[in-house]
Amino acid sequence: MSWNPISQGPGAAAVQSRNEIPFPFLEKLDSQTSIHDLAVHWWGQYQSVNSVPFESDFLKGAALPSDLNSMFTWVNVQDENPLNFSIENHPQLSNFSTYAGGPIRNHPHLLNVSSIVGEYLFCKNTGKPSYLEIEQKIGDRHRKYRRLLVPVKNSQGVVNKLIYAVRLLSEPLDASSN
Amino acid sequence: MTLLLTDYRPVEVVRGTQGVDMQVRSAYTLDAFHGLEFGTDLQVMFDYWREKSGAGPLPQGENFNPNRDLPEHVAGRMSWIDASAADPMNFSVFNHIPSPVTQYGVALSGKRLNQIMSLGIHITACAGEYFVCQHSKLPFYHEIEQVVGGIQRHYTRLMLPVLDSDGQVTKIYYSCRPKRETRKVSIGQAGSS
Repeated sequence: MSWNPISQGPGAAAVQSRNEIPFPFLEKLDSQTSIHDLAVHWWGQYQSVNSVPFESDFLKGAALPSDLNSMFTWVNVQDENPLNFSIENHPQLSNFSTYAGGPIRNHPHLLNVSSIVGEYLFCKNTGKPSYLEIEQKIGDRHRKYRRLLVPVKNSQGVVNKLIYAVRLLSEPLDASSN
Repeated sequence: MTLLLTDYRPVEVVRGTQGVDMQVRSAYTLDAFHGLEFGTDLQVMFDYWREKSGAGPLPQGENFNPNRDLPEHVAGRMSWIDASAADPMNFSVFNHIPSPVTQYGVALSGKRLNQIMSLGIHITACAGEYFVCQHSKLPFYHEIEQVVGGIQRHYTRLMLPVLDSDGQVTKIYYSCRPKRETRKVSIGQAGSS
């Protein structure tokens, strides 16, 4: 593990905004996307048990269209220590980062680690979904996307996985490659 | 005479909103810290931490005793995080300084982060920052401007990790320097001076 400020180096200042969007806007902003499908599915499951859905019910093959399963990413948050959280089926949104998923301890970027660990912990502890619009500028690179993060729990009733869908809102820019 | 002005720009800026809460958290390099906090109590705290580190990267907890070694006006404003739990939401805050807003002051002492989740985006950010400070074993200097729960705060904060006898960071000391008075605000008032 070697975490250093992502922006080390000349001219590589990093700026990001992570803004929560009220859920009523989801229907309009992300209709007909995997974010919408995930939201509808999670809320349906939530209402049927009046609680965070069980993973065993949520991830049943019949519960989600097979092509949707491949569109979701999930974070295994079973371990107490976020170093051992693991991001699976990480989306390749862009060439923005070399990170391809796996344990948080292998994540190369301090800026992202600080933000996502806090957000994963909040979602895990509160059982509340999170719908964010995220814009990042790191040096010459830029990306903007929306992310829905929803929790599911294991048979002991403990939130053990966070499932998320993302939608890229802007083509990633990398002026240095032009 | 030449006036040399140094532009201390943050290296990382994270802006966030959640409902009517908002915050901007800007991280600066230690070079910037030395320029921006020259002569302040945060500088005294950092120098003490550096001195107690000796030849190593971090001080050992048994050598790091601000209450014994530092002036009361510096040590008295130093809080610390018990970071011995694996889950950062179980980290606890101690010696939280008083605040003009009662529930944001000493009442937070002894509380775990998961007991003050009502602070929303502030706790989300703190959990991530404490975690990164703990595992990177690096000091961090931030400027934080926020309106959370109707309370407006603007301050700089220095976080310093300290080792336990097993070589793990289980304590993080921090201190804040207010840049403006903490106050209650109503919606629409936050941007006004």
